[in-house]
Amino acid sequence: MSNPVKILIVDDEEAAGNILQLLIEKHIPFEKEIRYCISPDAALKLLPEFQPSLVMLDIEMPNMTGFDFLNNAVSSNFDIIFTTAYDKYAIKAIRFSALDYLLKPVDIVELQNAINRHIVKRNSPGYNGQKELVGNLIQNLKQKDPGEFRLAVSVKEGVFLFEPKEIICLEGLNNYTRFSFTAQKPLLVAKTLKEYDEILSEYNFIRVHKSFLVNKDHIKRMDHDGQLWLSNNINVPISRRKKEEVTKLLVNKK
Amino acid sequence: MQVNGNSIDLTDAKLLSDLKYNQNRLLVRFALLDFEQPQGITYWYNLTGSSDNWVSNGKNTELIFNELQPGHYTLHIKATNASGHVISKIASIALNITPPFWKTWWFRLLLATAAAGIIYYFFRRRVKSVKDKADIQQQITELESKALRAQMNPHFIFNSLNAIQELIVTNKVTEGYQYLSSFSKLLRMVLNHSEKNLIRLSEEIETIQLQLSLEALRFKNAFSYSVIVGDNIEAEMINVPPLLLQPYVENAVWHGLRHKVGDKGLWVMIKETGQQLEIEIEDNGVGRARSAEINKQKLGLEQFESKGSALSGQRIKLLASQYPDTAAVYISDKKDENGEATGTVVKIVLPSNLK
Repeated sequence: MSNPVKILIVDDEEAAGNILQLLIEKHIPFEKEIRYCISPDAALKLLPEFQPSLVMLDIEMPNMTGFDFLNNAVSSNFDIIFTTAYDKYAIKAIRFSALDYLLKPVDIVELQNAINRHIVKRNSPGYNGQKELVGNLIQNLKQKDPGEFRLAVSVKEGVFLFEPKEIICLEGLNNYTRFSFTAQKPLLVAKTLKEYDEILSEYNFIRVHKSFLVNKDHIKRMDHDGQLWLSNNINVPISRRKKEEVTKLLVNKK
Repeated sequence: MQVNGNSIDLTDAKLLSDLKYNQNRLLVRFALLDFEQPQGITYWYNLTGSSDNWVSNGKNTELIFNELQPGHYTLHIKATNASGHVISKIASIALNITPPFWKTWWFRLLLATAAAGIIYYFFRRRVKSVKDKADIQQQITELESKALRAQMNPHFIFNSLNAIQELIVTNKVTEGYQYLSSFSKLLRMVLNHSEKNLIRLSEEIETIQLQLSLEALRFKNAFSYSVIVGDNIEAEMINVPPLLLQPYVENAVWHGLRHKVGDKGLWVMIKETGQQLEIEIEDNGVGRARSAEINKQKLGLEQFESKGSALSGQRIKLLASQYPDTAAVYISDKKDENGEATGTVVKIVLPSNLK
């Protein structure tokens, strides 16, 4: 891989842009070419000429947010790492869309990991960018209610989008999570169950066991052995400490 | 005359006027005192209070009344001959059957009053319990916001910034940068946690580890520490109140270990027994008594030190009012065989099934 990684930094705060540039130069060992734009407008103008493979994008900027920038940059194909100081709603939308983000001030190890992930993806055969993920992110952001968000699940075969209600349960298998759906084959995703627990806990999901996150709407019944039966006729174990909560849930359902 | 099968004396007017509610089976025998005993004699009776019409009793000289309701009655009896002429005086007996106490107006009024009273009492009790709960909730909220302020106490914030400044000035730029990003990570966690009533134990452990790494940096790595989590602990599934442990950890570092000469260590141990979560924060520092003594000798120092742990103590106490027997904090001093202080152990017990 002789061609350098082209990285575009977009941040309205010069100090933030400069330090990111310095950190990448100092701590990323790959051959790289870095440009920095202080406004989304300038970045949009630079895109056709520079053709970055990675854009490190601030979210809260005057005139145009990072999301507006993406909405205006649909004709280009690049990966994104969002950089933000503190924006809960935006982070929620980003996590739902399976996109990367870094919190400022950026941790060096996290920065290295995020850029490494991008380089690995870029070099894998058949990789065709984050178009779908970005499309879903923009769709999600247009929803007034986070309840309407669709969860992007990115696997080798491509990107799948699901409404939370289509997910029956998630099983943690070390660093992987296995999804079971209402109308689709299960998927194995390279993310921890903890991560999905954080993303989905506000969406009617309950962690019934250290290895199982279950959609409350898909719980059918609990048997005498303390197994929880789900709408797809599969049973999962319930942790001792969750038995009371699940029992209450089932009583209220009736 | 018989009442409930017992003969009574008709001249005892008092008795007849005061029959009990269950003395209501009456038998009255009578006869016309006429030696001629005319043919076609018919006896009539009329029980005012029960019916106003004369009722024929035929030739029968007995009258039976079963289960007369309480009330005032006058029984009249007369006799007629075959042509319907009254041939006797009208005999009258006044009766009074008193109602049982539970049918009296005063009893019903009493009953209604008592019922209203009981309902009111339970209503008040419910209102009070709701209010008590709201009070406890409010206290918890207040203590939580105080806990945030105490955790992010100015000493911690500015000394951390000072440590970063020192790393920059001495040209340890990368360390300075790492310190800064860890510090902001902790700040972010504390801000996020302070909005919640409960957080995952895993999050609290992460916060403690970050705090300890920052304290160790500030302390020039002069103490060692470890956070030991029991194998059976499902840290992602257990909820704990946020920012509860940090003050005790900070105390251990800044009051236990700072004054100590020689090997300095701090251990956080988390285990679960039954429905209880036990967290021990142990140091091998100078102990509470010595630390207090040292602090007393210092002039003009704001006594900020135990504010944080005092707040945590209050929060645990409040938790104990909701979960008796499963929430408590015990602080004990470690001593060697000579009775010399060898450190402090803070043991915090929490219910492991908070939700």
